[in-house]
Amino acid sequence: MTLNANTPTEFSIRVSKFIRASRERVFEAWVRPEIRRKWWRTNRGEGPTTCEIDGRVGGKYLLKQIGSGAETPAGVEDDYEWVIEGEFLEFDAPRRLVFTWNVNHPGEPSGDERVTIEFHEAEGGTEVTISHEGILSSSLRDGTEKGWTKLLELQAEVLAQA
Amino acid sequence: MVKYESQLDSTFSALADPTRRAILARLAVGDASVTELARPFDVSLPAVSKHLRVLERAGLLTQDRQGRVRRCQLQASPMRAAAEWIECYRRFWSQQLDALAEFFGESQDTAEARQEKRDNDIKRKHTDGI
Repeated sequence: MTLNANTPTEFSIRVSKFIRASRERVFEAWVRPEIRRKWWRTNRGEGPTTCEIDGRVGGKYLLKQIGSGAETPAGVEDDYEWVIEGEFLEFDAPRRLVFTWNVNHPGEPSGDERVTIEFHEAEGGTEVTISHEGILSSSLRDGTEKGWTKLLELQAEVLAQA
Repeated sequence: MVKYESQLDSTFSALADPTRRAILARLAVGDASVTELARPFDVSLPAVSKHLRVLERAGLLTQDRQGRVRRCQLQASPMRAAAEWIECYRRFWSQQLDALAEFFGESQDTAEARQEKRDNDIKRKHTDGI
């Protein structure tokens, strides 16, 4: 995990994985709804109930699923219907995808979040790297910008001591 | 994630002040009395006490009263809450990538299995032919 504190209030998460398939096939698996449905999973091991993808710059996507992708946040019903939607800012097959990311978190209006997926050719497959950047929550923007940067600076120090 | 929000708000507000950050940095090294905490700063004891109350409310420190001396202790859990919030998102993407790898793992196995079956079929035909 990378915590990017260059810009106050921003967070950045980065994960990578090697996928044993060609770049073209892996890219398709993200942008073709009939394939995306087959592997995208909730924490209940189920696929999305709705999956619409208009794969082009400016095109929209919509995912609906019961149960989140990770553990269900506190105070949210297990059968809450999560709606994830956004717009493609970049659509460069089979190399790169950039799209906005909006989730209907109850009690937390979605901020200005964006996801970048890079597909790199690797020996025998494809290295997929996902970067998710955004603002932690809109309520944190008011008067606490510096707090976030400082929190990250302090965090390493404090956790090391704790 | 909702659970963390009010806690995060008070954590961030508490950290918005440079004196309070310096107090936390000092406490990261070890416990300290209020007097010890006030010493490096050009502020009165009541002013330091006020900062300590803000930090206490944010759950960043606890104060122990031993007679007339108050000892302050750092509590790192609200910072963990912030880290956990982000960790939750990281897990979300990791799990999706695992699901993707599994999907291609399986479909490849199926393709390999099909190829193997074809190879066997061809071998069998050969054998049958001979």
